Amino acid sequence: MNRDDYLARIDERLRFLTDPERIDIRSDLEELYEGLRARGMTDAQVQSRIGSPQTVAAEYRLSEHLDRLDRYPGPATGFRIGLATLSGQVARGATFQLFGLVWLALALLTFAAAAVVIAAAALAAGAIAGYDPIVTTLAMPGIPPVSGALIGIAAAAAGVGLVLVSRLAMRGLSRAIRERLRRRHTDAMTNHDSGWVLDAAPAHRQPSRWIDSRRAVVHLGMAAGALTIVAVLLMLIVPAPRFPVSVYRAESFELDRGTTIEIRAHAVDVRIADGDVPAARLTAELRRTFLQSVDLSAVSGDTSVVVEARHREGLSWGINPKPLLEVQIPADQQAAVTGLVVVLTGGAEIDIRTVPPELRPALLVERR
Amino acid sequence: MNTQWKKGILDMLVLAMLERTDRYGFELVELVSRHVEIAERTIYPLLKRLRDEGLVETYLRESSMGAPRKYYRLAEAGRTYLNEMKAEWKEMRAAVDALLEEAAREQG
Repeated sequence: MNRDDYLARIDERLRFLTDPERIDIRSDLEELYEGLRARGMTDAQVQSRIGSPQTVAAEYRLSEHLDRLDRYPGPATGFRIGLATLSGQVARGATFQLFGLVWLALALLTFAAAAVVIAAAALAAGAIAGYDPIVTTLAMPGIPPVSGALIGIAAAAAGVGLVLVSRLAMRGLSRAIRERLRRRHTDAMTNHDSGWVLDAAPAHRQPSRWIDSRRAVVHLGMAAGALTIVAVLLMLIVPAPRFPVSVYRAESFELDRGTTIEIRAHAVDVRIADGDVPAARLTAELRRTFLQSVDLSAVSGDTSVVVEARHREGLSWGINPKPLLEVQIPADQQAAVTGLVVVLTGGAEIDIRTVPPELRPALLVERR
Repeated sequence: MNTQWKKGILDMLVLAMLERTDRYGFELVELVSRHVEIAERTIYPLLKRLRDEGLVETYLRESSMGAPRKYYRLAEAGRTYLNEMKAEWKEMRAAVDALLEEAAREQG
């Protein structure tokens, strides 16, 4: 083909580059073409010397991908170069060399994608745990809040570590690819080879910080692992907090805005505490509402004590039952409380389960 | 010439050609290929890399042959790098020469 057609075909295949880069390369190729023609070569000889449009474009495409891998060693870049290699867009002869590395890149891509998902979930869990340790405790009964928070932190750190590891691995893969290409193109300097010099030795560049990143990843991983071990030990060693007596526990309920739950305790012969024995207290705690407690020490006989818990927002729990309403009666006053009435208003419903059954006084649920 | 050696010194050769005067791409191709057998097209990607690394700078100069030509000139960072490479080359050449002489003496 003639010069203009040859250069136009190369230009067409370089459309993945920016316009300034493409114009720059076109200018270089024109200069080279004219220089070789000036030596007395024919068009065919010049084009053979430079290489086919596919070869020229493939080499520039690979170089572009590798530069991008160095700058942005993320899964998306690795995916691009993997696709380009498998589809044969990269340099002739380099595909075979890169085959094994491409599959490694795809495996790393999957790993990196999973790491991103885990990291996002772990960060969310860590944020929730840090924001409200009670949430974590209620979500996992028997686990101390501290453990829950530590688990969240450890999971978040592990997730971040996974993302960094995948990033580091992509950088390492980029270097491995470059090394392979360097060895592959050792003959590129002679006139008898059709390869290209893609990267002789970028010795002038600033030292890569990938070794520092690797050290940071190792430290992060060790910290995450240590935190996880501490959290697990805490779960095993530290007993879960036990309320003095958890008599009733609502596992799931629905409340509309402004719903009121009244809890009335009928007490007979309440014993006034002396000395170190704490006074009887009837406490109703409804999550995400204000807490009221009533001291029973001042009552006696068959008396109704009303504890009002007004819920501020509409709330619905059903899928993941949590203990949200607990009526606590100290063990030493257990015998004094003979009945318990839970009054639900405004359409509220609660599903009450008792723990433990042997301590259960009579329960009456009134709906109004 | 061994191709591995060529790969190692091509940067230095190109920068050395620019040390005294600015040149355009094909001019560098001709100069280098007079002494080292290379594929002509290898110079241009190398020049691009040197420019991306800040070792050389480019500018356009009017040419009597037609369109303006892109000329390369050595940047300060390139000058520093070239001096380092020259020092290393001299050191390596001296060491290799000394070892080869010693081997020759042992054989003799």
